[in-house]
Amino acid sequence: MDISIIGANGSTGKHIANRILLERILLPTDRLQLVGRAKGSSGQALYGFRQDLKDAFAERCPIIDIALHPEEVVADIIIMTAGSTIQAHNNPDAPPPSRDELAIYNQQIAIPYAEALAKYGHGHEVVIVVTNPVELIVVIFSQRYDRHRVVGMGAYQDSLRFRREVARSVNVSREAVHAMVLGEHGDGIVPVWSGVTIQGFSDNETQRAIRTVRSSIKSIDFPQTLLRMRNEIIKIAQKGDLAEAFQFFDKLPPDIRIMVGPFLTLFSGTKTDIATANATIDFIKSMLSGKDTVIAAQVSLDREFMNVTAPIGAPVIISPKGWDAVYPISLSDGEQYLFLETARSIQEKMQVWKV
Amino acid sequence: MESLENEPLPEQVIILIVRDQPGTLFQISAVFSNRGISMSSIQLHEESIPCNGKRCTRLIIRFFGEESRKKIIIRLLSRLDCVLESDDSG
Repeated sequence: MDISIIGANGSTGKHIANRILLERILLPTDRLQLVGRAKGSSGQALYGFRQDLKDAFAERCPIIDIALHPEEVVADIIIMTAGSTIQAHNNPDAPPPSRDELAIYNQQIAIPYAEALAKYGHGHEVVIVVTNPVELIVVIFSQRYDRHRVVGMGAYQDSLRFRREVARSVNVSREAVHAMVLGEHGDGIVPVWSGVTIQGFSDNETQRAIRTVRSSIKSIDFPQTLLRMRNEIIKIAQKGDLAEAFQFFDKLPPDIRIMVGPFLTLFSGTKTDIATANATIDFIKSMLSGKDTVIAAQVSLDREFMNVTAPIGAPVIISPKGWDAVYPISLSDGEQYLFLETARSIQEKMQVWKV
Repeated sequence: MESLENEPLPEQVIILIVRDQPGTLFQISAVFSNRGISMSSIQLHEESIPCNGKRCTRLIIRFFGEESRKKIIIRLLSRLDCVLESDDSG
């Protein structure tokens, strides 16, 4: 098996490469392809990065290949991490980062890779999209390649965060919590409280625990609650006291912490690349396990779930071939409303971004 | 009754110019073996070919598989440092 990392010189790409080697996901006879751009410093830096990996992993190291043009990308799994990221916004006088600007910039980076894959690919590659806005990049690849082989990481990472935050509030381990986040990897997230199960808890105990910890009784109130609590934490953070902001964060409900956690991390001047790389590696392991696994991930739906046609986080069955089908789960009325509103919002954004 | 007989796979031929150095054959054969392909024959030309001052040789590999498999195998082989040129015999 070969894995290609587009954007391997970025911090997330580097962490993913490191984890692939550390966890021996590739054999010494396999190939890890590091993809950068011929123009600019990233292409040059990849030669040094390759040397660093070889120094670190020596005889356990797979073949490490460097590609500087989209048509040179060839692998069984292609991880798309290239692009700009949302920068920390810790200057109260500066405008918040524009999601539209990020989208337009990253779209231009992704299109040549998607077109090269459509032209030179052999139809068996699986594309894992990490770059944001993940819905946009998923649709760019899905329009040019088999959409069932294009999977976005956002909802998977959000679900990991949701499980961790619920576990923290209930005081159990993350492994004991089964939970999903659907919708958008952004403000349009849909935490599926109706599907939460906690190992060792009866249905009644689970319901009581959820009622105690969730941000609002009704899912329909979630977006407003999120906005209000995020504004409160922004005020604290803008005073420059990040310790106090994180103390406040710890007291927030778990569904709010999913969104505010990464935001506050960026605000502090740190990136979320380690958690993103961890989620990506976790995802690859699930996919390669050979077992059909149900996860939440951004896919380009064509009416398979709630009649939605949009790139959106949905419950899907993954295998080494990508996502085979949508897994039918039932949502509460409020969750359905949020999911459909998010789908509508994503469709509008796609029109703005001219996809 | 369902037939278990399949159409025979066509024979594919790949011609490579490779570096004459330790490990070349190992890396090339790994590309095939990791994808479940058995090479039906390997023909290594004894005469070295000068190639940018380095010792190179011509390698002819035959295997049975679909055209699409040959296409991806050639692309994968071309990413190896030890492979300087790759071509198929049509």
